[in-house]
Amino acid sequence: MDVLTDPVFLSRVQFALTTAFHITFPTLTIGLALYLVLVEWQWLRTGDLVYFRQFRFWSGLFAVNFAVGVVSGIPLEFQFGTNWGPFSATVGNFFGQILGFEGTMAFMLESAFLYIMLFGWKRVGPKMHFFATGMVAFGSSLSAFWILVANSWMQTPSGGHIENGLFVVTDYLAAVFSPDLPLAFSHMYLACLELSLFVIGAVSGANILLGRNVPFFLKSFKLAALAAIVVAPLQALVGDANGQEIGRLQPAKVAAIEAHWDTNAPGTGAPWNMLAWPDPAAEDNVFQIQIPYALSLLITHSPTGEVPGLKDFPKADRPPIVLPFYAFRLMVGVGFAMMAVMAWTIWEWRRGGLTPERAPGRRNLFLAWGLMAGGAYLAVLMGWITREVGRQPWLAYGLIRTGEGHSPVGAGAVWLSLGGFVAAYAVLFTLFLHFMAKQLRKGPNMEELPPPAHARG
Amino acid sequence: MDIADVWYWIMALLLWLYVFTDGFDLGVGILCLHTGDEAWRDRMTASIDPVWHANQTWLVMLGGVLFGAFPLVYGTVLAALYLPAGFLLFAFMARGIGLEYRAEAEDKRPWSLVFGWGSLAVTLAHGFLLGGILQGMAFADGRFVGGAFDWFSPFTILVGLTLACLYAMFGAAWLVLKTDGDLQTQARLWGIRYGSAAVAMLVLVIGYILLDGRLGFLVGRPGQSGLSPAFVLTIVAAVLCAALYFRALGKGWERRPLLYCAVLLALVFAAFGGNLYPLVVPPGVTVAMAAAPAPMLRVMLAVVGGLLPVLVFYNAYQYRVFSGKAAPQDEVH
Repeated sequence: MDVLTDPVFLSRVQFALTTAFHITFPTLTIGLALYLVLVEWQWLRTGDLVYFRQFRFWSGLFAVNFAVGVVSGIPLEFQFGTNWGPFSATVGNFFGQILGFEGTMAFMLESAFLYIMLFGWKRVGPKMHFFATGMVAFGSSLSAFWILVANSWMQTPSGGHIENGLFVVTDYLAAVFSPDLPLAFSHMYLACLELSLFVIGAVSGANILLGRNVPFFLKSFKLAALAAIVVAPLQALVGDANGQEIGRLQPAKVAAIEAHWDTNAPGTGAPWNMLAWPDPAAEDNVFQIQIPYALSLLITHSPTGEVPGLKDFPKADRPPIVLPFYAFRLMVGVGFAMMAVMAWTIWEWRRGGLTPERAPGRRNLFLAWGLMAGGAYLAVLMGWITREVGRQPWLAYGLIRTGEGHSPVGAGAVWLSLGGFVAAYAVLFTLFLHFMAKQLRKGPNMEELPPPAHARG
Repeated sequence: MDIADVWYWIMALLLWLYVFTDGFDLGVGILCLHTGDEAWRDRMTASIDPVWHANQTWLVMLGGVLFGAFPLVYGTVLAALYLPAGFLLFAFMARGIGLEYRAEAEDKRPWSLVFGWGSLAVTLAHGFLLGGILQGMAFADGRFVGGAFDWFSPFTILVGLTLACLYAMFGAAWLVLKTDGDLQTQARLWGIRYGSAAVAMLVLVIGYILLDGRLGFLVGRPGQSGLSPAFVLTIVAAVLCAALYFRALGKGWERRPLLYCAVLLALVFAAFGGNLYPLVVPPGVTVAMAAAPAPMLRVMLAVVGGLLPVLVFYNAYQYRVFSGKAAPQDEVH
C-alpha cells in the first residue's frame, strides 16, 4: 500500500496520534483547575475543612494529569517545524507568533505557579496560595484560547493573503479572531468543563458505590452535577450553532460529515442521513437511512434551506467522508446521552436519592456517570477527528494544501519517529494509569489539617 | 538597529535564559548518575522540583517565538535536524517522567536512572542541534536539500560533550547553593572537576574550529583566517570568569559559583553570537532573510517584550518562595 511509504500521510498520522493523546490531559486539567479554584475559594470563605481536603485530593489527580500533559504536549509545537516546515515558513510570521503568545502568556504562568499551588502551602499565605491556584487555572484556560486561535485560523484563514510564498497579514485582529474562533473556542471550552465534571462525578460516584468517604464524595458529586446540569444542555446549543456556522464557513466539511452528495433543489428539503456508507468512487452512498428535511433544518433551521452537496466541490477539494461521518455521530450520541444522565440525576436528587444513607444504593446512576466520563473522552476525540479530517485536503483551509506544507523528510525518518511516539506514549499511558490508580486507591486524607498559617476558627 | 536585529538578540537572551536555567536542572540529572545514594538523589531532585517545569518552559517559549520571528529558520532547520530534534523530544519525556514519577514511586532507583540518563540524552541532543546549526546546512531556495544525517559530525559530538560538562558544572554550582553538609562538599568537588572539563572542552572546540577551516567564521572576521579581537577578548573574559568560579568554590561561597556560571555562559554566547551575526543559519541564511515582516515583529515585540519582565519577575518570585536548602517536600506539614 502506498500510504505506508507516503511521508505526508505518515506525518498526518503522527500529528493526529500525538495530538489525540495529548489533548485528553489538558481537557481535564483545564476544568479541574477551575474546580480547584472553586473549592479553595469556599475553603477561604467558610473555613470548612472539607473544602481544604477536596482541594488536596483533586489537586493530586491534577498533578498526575498535568505531568503527562506537559511531556506529551511539547512534541506538538515542534512537529510544525520538523514535519510541516514549508507550512511553518509560509505562515509562521502569524501562526508561529500565536504559538509564541501561548508559551509567553499562558504556559509559563501555569508552570511557574504550579509548584506553589501543589507544594507551597507552608511557604506562602492563604491569599497568595489562592492567587497561585487562580493563575494556574487562568493560564490553562488562556492556553486553550491561543491554541484555538491558531487552530481556528487553520480552519478559516483570514486577515491576509499569500504573496511570494509568504502569508502577509493585512488585518491583524481579523486574523486572530477568525470567523471560526468564537464558536469553536466556546465549544471546546465547554467540552473541557463537561469532561472534567463527568470525571469528577464518576470518580466520586465510584467511591460512593464502594462506600468510601461517602459524605466527602457526595459533596464533589453534587458540585459536579450542579455545574453539569447547566453545561450539558449549553454544550448542545453551542454545538448546534457551531454546526450551522461550519455550514456557512466550510460547506464541504458539512457535506462530508453528512455524506450528502447532491444539493437539494429549491423548494425541497435536504434529507439527513442517520446512517450511511459512502462510496466516493460512485459519488453515492451504498446504503442510507434518511430522515427527510432534517439536514436542511439542522444546518439552516429552515425545512427547505439549501445545503450544498459534495458533488458541488471538485474531487480534489473533497475531504474524506467515512471518518468525519461516524466520528460526528458518536460525538453527538454521547452529548445526548450526557443530557439524559443529567435528567436522571435531577430526578434522583429530587426524590431524595442522593442522601449519604441512600446514595450508595444508586448503582445504575453512578455506573451511567462512569460510562459518560469515558464517553466524554470519546466525544472530545471524535469531535476533533470530525473537525480536522473534515478540514482536509487543506492545511490552512483554501490557502495551503496539506501536501504543499510538508517538510522534505523521507518516509523512513517519519516511520522512525512515529514508531518512537507509539512506544513512548504506550509507556507513558501505562505509567499514567498506574499512578492514577495509586492516587485513587489512596483516596482523600480525612485527617489532614492545613498548615497553621492557613488554619481557621 | 533594525527590528529583526532586536529579535536576533531577544532570541539570544531567551536561549541564554533557557540554557542556563534548564542547564543546571540537566546538570543535576547528570550528577545523579555519579552517586548511587537515593537519599542524596532525594535532596538533589528536591532542589529542582519547584523550578524545572518553568525552566523547561523557556524552551517552549523560545520555540514559539522563533517560529513567529524567524519562520524560515523554524520551518527549515527543524526539518533538516529531524532526527536529533526527535531524539530531543523523547529525551525530554524520559527526563520529565523520571523526575515526576520518582517522587511518586516506592522504588526510586529505576526512576533516578531514567531521570539521569534522560538528562544526559537531552544534553547531547542540545549539542547535536546547536552544533548542527553552527556548522551550517545545505540550503537551496529556502529549502533544506541535504541528507538526514548531515548533522552528525565530530563537531556536533564535541559540542554535545562540551554542553554535558557545562551543564554538570552549572548543576554542581546549583547544588552548592541548595544543599549543605557532605552533599555540598561533594558538589564543590563536582564543580571543580566539571568546571575544569568545561574549560578544557571549550578550548578544544575553538581549536577544532581553527583547524577545520570551514568553520572559521565562528571565531574570526568574515573572509579572514585566525581569531577576531572581539572574540579573543570575550573568551579571555570567560576564562577569567571561570577562574572566579573556581575561587568562589574554594572560598566556600554558596551563591557566587552559580552567578559566575550565568556570566560565563553569557560571555560564551556573546563571543560566538557576535561572530555569527548577521547569519542565523550558516552558511547563507541571514537575519534579514529569515525574519518575519517588520510589522509582525513590532506586534510581537510589544507583546513578548512587554511581558518578558513580568515573566522574569514571577519566575524570580517562585525561586524566592522555594529558596533555602532543599529537602524532600512534605507538602503541608
